[in-house]
Amino acid sequence: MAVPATLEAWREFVDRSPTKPEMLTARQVRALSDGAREQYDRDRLRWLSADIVLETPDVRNLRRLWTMLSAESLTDAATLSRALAISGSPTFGKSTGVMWIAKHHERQQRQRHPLIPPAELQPSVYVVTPPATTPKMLMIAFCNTLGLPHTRSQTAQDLAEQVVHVLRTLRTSLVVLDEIHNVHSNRQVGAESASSLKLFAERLDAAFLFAGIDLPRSAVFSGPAGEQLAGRTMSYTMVGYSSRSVLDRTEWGTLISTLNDMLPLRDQAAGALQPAAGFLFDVTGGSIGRLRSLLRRTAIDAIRTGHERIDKNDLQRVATVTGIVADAASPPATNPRLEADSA
Amino acid sequence: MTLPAPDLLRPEPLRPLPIRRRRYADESMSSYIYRLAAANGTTTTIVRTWLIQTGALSPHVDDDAWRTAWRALGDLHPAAPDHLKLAGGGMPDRTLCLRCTRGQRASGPLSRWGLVCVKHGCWIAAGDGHRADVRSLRAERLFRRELVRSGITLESAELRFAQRLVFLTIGPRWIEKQHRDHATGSPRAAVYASQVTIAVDLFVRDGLKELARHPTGHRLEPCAEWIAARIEAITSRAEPWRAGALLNHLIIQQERAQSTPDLTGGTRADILHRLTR
Repeated sequence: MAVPATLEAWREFVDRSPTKPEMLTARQVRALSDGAREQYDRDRLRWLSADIVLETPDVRNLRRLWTMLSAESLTDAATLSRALAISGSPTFGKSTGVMWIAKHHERQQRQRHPLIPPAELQPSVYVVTPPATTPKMLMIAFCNTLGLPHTRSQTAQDLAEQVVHVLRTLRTSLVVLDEIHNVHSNRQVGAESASSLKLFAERLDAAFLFAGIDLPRSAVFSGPAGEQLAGRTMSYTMVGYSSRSVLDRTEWGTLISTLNDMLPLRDQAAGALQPAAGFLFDVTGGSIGRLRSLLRRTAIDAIRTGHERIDKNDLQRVATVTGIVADAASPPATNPRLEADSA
Repeated sequence: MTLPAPDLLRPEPLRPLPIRRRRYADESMSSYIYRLAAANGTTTTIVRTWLIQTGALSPHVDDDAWRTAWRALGDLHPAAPDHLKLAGGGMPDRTLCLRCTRGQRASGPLSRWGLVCVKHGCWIAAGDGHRADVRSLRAERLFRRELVRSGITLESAELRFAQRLVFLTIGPRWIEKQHRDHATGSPRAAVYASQVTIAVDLFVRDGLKELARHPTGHRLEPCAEWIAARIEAITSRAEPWRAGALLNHLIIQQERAQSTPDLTGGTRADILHRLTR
């Protein structure tokens, strides 16, 4: 599925609850017509790519931080202090994490306000920051996500007014800005963007989630405007899994076991991937994104070839074919840690 | 070079604006468009420019295409009418009942409405929103039941004629008093009940034709008496000589034009035309 870059796509994403297809025996599969078998395989492939968030240490920490942030949102602060920046290397699940928080928040708010028609309530908004963002580009990104008309002659201020008006009307209480590292605040244009982002956030009675690569070192939180923004933002760095302690290795083993149970393969035995746990850690560097990609591709291959199970050999073969090798995987930074530096 | 498949050339369907607005019954499309744009913090001009700049519409498209675009932006149901078929032809837009629209300014031709919102029992004329009295409410129901069904709307010649008669017959002082006492918002609202009753009598129950069949139908004096009697039946404050004065005025006008006043025969429209020209 593509990134839910429009309001309609986002609502669809929030409403979607993927379910694992019922596993058929070999005899039941043989009894299916060609079309039904094709559909059965399609359902299994869709399940493999479904956006399911697993209970990883990072996700647990994010949930704790979000609880703090949403509790802070209940207070009437005059300046922005309700922001959380989620950082980390690529494929560590930053976007998945923020989308999961926003999805959870939106469902909760919709349940809390059952009398408000769905079209008149938009508790969360997900926006992807365009590369080398100027203040106007940032506002245009909001307009495009919301489906708001905008013309070339309108200024960034005009657009900001319009976006704030719409988000207030729709009672938006959470704004997610993904790929925030695209704002370069140490350049003139970027500094203006960071500054207008701060002013924009102050005008909305909403919590902000920023996600991006290596945010503590990125330009968006440096420079005068960036430092102001950073001072009002909690930050968390997603570090993935580690294998340093016994506890870390047990946690990794549990994750592999969970993913093994989720595979929609007929002949996949429980615990079949446990012998490959060490190999999988080496090859993915503890990145949940890389791990799921490798398992997904191997499982797709098993469905297409009719093999219907995967083991360490299959994983090694697919890792080599698809270019996932141990050297390419970056090692985990440190143990999962919580940097709740609230302003 | 291979051309893209026809589906790729087809422009993407317009996405609805984030804030939707319900279109009220009898609301004109222009009023709806204005409200929808304002609700989304923009203007109709900006939306138009945006549609052209994004290539969603060409600047030379006709009104139908614009309306279709706006229907998509408002996420209107395909069955929602673009414009209303009016019972009595094109009517100017009037402000809709502010209670029906929850205080939002909306307008439309209100072809099936008189001056009172039956649902909320208040005046809609000139946007005053004051509570209407029982007589006026009853008159509104009569207007919708009898006159609208016969193709007579608030702006039609028949109702204007009835209003002229009432204004002249009842007298300005009584109208002023009614207007003041009942806070009707406009003098027109003060005479509304009488106006509707007269119009129903004259044009729906064919009082005018009955008048024409009067033994002395070639003269207008008996007509004046007849009309005055009808108005007297509606309100004891009537001053019948005023109706007589109006019709005498008509007689003089017609005599000056060297034509014999004649109310016999002809359709309702003919008779009305002769009376009011």
